[in-house]
Amino acid sequence: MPHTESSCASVSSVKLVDISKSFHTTDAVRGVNLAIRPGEFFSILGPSGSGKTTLLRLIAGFEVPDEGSILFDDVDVTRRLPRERGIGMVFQHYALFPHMTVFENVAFGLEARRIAKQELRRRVENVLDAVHLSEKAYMLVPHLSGGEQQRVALARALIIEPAVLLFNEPLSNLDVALRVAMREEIRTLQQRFKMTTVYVTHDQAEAMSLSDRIAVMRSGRVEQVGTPREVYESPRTAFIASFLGGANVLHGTVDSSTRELVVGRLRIPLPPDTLAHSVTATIAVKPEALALTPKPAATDILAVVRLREYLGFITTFVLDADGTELRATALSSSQWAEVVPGTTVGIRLDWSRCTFLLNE
Amino acid sequence: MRRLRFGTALLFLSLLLIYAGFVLYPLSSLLTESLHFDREVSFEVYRRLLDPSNHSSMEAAVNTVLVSLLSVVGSGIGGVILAVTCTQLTFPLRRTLSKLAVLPVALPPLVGVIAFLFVFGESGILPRLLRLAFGFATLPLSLDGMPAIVTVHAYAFSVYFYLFVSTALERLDASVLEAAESFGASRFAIMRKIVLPELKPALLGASILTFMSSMASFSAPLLFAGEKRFLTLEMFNAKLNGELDVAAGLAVMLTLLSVAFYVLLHALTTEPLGAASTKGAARMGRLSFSRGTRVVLLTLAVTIVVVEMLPLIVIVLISFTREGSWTWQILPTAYTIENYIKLFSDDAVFQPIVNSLEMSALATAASILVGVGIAYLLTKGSLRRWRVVLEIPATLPYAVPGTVIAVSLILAYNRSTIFTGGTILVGTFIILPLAYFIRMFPFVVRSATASLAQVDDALLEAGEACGAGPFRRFRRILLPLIQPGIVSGGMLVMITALGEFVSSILLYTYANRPIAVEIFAQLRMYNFGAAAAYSVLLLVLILLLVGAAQRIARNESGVRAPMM
Repeated sequence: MPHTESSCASVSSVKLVDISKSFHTTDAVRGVNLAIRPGEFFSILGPSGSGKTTLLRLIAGFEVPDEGSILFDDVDVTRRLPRERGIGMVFQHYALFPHMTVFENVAFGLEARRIAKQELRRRVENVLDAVHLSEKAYMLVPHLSGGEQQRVALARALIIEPAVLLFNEPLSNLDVALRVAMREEIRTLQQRFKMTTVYVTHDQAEAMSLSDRIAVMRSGRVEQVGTPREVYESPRTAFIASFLGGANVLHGTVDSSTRELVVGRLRIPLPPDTLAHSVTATIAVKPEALALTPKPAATDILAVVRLREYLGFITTFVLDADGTELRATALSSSQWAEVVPGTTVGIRLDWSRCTFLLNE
Repeated sequence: MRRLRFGTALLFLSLLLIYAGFVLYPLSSLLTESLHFDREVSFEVYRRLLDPSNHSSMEAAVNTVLVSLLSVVGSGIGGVILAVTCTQLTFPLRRTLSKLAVLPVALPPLVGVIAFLFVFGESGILPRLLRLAFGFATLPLSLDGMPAIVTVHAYAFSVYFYLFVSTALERLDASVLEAAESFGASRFAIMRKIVLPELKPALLGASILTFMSSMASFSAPLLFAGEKRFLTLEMFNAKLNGELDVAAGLAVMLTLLSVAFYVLLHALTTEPLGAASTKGAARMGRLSFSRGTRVVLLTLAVTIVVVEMLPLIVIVLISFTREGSWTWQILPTAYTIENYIKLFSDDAVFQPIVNSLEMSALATAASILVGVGIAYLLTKGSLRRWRVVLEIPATLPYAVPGTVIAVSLILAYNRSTIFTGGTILVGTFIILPLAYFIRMFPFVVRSATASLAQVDDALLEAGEACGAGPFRRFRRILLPLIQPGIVSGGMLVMITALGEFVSSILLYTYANRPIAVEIFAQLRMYNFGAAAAYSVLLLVLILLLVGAAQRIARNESGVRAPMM
């Protein structure tokens, strides 16, 4: 960590060009291109097995790509060792050195750089202060709580003033409340020091709350890159729509005479001027795009409630609309009290929250 | 997959050179020698050894295997009873009993055999006592021949079963046992379907160790064999008669038999399945036994431990006996401390102690260097994907009996070689520590591999991400974390080497005679008191080492002094 806050001189851009990597016979990463801007908080989001961790390890240098190249500030680092790349990394299970104190853990990177004792001590104290761990400097790390260990891991990565800071699912070990608190702390520190950050996670809320931009990965490929708002509101694929928003993905044929989308026995009236020339269509309907009414009007789509989950300020429903399963969300209110499973409700679609997807 | 790095390659090559020079070359000398007769290449040696009209070597082979199998059974029964009693039952002094149960592990084989001789042997204390008490005409219960050897082995090796099985029992997961019980499984069904499969790796592991140790056993046959023939003994006699080619042939036979059984038993062993099923620290499961079973188990366990303690007590007693004063009496009558005074005042008597300490320390240092190097290659280096292939040769020397190592070293280094910088090692000081090192470095490989495998690779990657090079990562991260493993492996080398007798008796010279050889010499001169005093001293040394090692391994505290 910089001792004066402007000293983060070496903020790199990261560029991945046609990166592929396979292990034995499985392709972990296939033809990935990314350009991460200097100082950007960039998340790689995807389910387990999507290749996001491999991609991060390639950027760090723990793996060497089979094809393609990795550029830091337009300098090719593909063949460089991790310690020659100027990265800092926060590992999934912290990977703190259990036989060392908090101080020794954080000082490790500076020792490796042969920083003089006095300067080393000052810088470690600065960083420990920034992560609120000054009190615990001389404790062995196994004696710390999960959140404290997480902050030690963060401090250890920050102190070497990395050109690129890498996170591999750093919060997955923490309970929910702590995860939210740490999320804010990471964001604050990143904005303060403005280092380029690549953050791997499978948690969409984490990615959306932290990131300037998100890359969504699936089966070793990047499916979409964009700001949180872009990927959430305009998902490019059905996978992204359901992974990020939990959207209902409906695939059906267009009945041009009645202007309806036919999904099984369910018929959804289409808004004017849409899908004029299409025969089939796929739409992503977010749960919050389905407006429910306990007393259906004649024009409403009818559905039977299968399941109701009260989650505090919202209530979620699983509905059966003529054989098609739909998930809907509504703000909790007393009107849902008697809508028990088996009740028929009316649905109206908010088309502004739906996305027409290209057929895959 | 990582690139093959320069450092790894260098480490691999230097270890390969050591292995080739000090393991492969001696063993191949053995083979070459056994395939020569009258300076010509021939199978004459084997033809003679395997000749049906000459029963001796075949008889020796059959006896050796038979004794080893019986020893496995005997040790297994004793060890499992102790392990079950000490881990599964609650009774007063349980901790004391379990501590006493592991004591034989610290006992050098020769000392154990001698102690046994004093208690249960032909003119031992127990037979004499029984004769007096019941007025038998002949000596009852006096052990010799095959039963004596098996009993001694069971006595010495049941501790392997005890240690392995009690560790496995302590790993039993309470929730799994409770689950089985909730589905209505009987005690017997739980035993057969859940407990036994969990114990299988431990039982096999202990069986391997016991079998190999019995095959290699030399002290017990030497003192108890009588008319019976055993491979190690035949080899020893052949060497004493100057028939090195025959000794080499027998050595090859013994090695092949040992290695064959080693590989066979190894193939049956699988990793324990347990841990994967539950997260975090599982509660330790307790087996339930009927009242009758509990009483029987406890009685047996106490009897076993008492029988184990008797020889130790007797050897202490004899070490305080005035030489020549104990003849026909049941217990010695005249006591003195002059045996110990002699030990420390007479330089010629004290020298073997210095020798043994020096040579064991050398062997331990070499074993740690080489053993940790090999363990690193097997678990963390870029060659680790070959672990399965490399692990067998890396631990193989342990499967080679000490007598075989000794004979092979005589054959390999009675001339100058490039591995020894052109000197002849036979007859020098270094040949004994070398023999210890060759046979025992696998202890360190084993323990260091186990510790290294527990170190998360992410720690090394974290070190690398912090900018540390390979040397710093090893010294600052790996070394402190695997220190307990190194200490326990190194300690095993040290205590085994301190009491080593088998290789020593074939390789020693007057100048580097070790304790065990001196004990044997005193015994031959009927200086029982001196032999016992040496044994007690050896035992005390070993127990001190064990205590020190445990202290080092436990040294951990919550808060540390500031680094600077």
